[in-house]
Amino acid sequence: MKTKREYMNLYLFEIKTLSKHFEEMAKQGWMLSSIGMLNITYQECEPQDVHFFIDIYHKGGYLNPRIIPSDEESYGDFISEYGYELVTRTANFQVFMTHQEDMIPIHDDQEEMKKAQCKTILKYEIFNHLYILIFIPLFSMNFMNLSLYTYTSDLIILFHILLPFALLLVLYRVHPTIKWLILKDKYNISVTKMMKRNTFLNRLNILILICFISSFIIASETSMIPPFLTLVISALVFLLLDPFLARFIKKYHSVFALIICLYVGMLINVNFFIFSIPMEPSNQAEGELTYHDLRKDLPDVVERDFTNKDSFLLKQERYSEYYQDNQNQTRDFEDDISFHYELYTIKVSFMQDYLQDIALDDRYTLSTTGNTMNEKTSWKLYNGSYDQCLMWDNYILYLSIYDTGHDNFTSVSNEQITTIIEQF
Amino acid sequence: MPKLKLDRLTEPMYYTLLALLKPRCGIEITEFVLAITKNRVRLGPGTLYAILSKFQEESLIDEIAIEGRKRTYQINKKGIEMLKTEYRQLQTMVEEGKPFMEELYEDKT
Repeated sequence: MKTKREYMNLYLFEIKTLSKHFEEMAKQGWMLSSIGMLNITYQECEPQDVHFFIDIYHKGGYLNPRIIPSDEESYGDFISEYGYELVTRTANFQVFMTHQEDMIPIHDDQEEMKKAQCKTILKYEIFNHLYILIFIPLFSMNFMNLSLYTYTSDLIILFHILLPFALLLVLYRVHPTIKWLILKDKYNISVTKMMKRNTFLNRLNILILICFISSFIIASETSMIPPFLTLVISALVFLLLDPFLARFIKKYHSVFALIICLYVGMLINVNFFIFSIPMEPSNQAEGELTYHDLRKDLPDVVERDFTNKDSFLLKQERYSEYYQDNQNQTRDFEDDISFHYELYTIKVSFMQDYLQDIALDDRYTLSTTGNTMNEKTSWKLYNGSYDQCLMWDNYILYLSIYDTGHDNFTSVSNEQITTIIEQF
Repeated sequence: MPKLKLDRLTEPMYYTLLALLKPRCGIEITEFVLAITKNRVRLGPGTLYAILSKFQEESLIDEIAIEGRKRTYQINKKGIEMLKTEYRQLQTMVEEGKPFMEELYEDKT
């Protein structure tokens, strides 16, 4: 049996328009078979006159939203008893058809029906855009934390470029619903328009999703590929994979998007957001040294020729030994250091100078872990404390103050550091 | 949030309880209501299903038989009490309004 598919963005407020469209299709010999998130499937049939009724399945029906039917199957059966035939159902609505004229409408209370329709539509739209609703606040928080002194990775910048597009896409998708919620019956959208919107939205959806995914892969920690190239590669991937992905995403659109976005969001926020806790002013107690106090001399320091390489290497070695002994982890410090020595030293020298300035260097020393990949390194204090600083790049460089006078070469606690610094 | 207890009956609810004084299934309830209201109240299956679910939740009716897709319901003691209360309230409302309403009708004539 031949099947036909129509791709459209279903707007649940247009149940009458959709019912009429299904009736027209049946007249042309295409009987409604199933409704997916973005597509409608028909099967070839004899041209016939049928009446369709879309019953938006709000929990508890339209009379009273508090009423919860115990069983969806029994609800369908109950309606069928009246001569309606269940054609298909989704999570939000069921489609019934009948060949009879002058049937008792499924819902006789139009006002209650409209109320229930509004509730269902709101729930439907919120669920469909849950991923972006989760995304926006998380990204906004990251965005708010960005400052002159915060390292911004290529990836974060890229995501911030993509985010407004994703936001516009959602607005484009939901604005007819918002219009309907305000204007009610004065606003209509035709089936043709729904189809056109779907084609456009689908393409954009796919593009943005691919950009998100590929940018994450390409602009990963070890990559030197700049954002614009990432976008170009993403676009190429999109063009190459479109025919397959379009079909796949149309089928599992929401779940797919939700999983991908939550996954990416989680990765980003584990890697970046958690460490981007704002320094000032919330974490700064009155009278404490501020981040700017630490930062203000940096422009002079970075220009300085750094000479105490031996001292730096020695400290690294001590820390490396300590780390291996205590954490049972091996890191390739020597390679890192010889490779990125100059870059480290500029930053570390500043910290060392600073420690010397505040007379901490006699007993406390500075350690680093990790590596950096390019010269965009900047740094910020971690979590408002002075014992651990992060150097940000495609890779994180930890700077820690350690108590070298202590037998176990322990990290100095926030409280201790605050107390020590306050003494000066 | 706790669900609100049903304390008054709407018009479709009242007629549904009235229909269930005898065992009836969904379509029979609709037909009964159509007959006694002379086609004025057309209880759609969606509306009726919600009403019956609510009544079951409030233990005002019992499901007494299931034959295939067909489910038969009947009012129980609690339901009868609810119906009686509603009937008395409707009667009281009519009686209390009667002198004033009759005046209105007299004025018109």
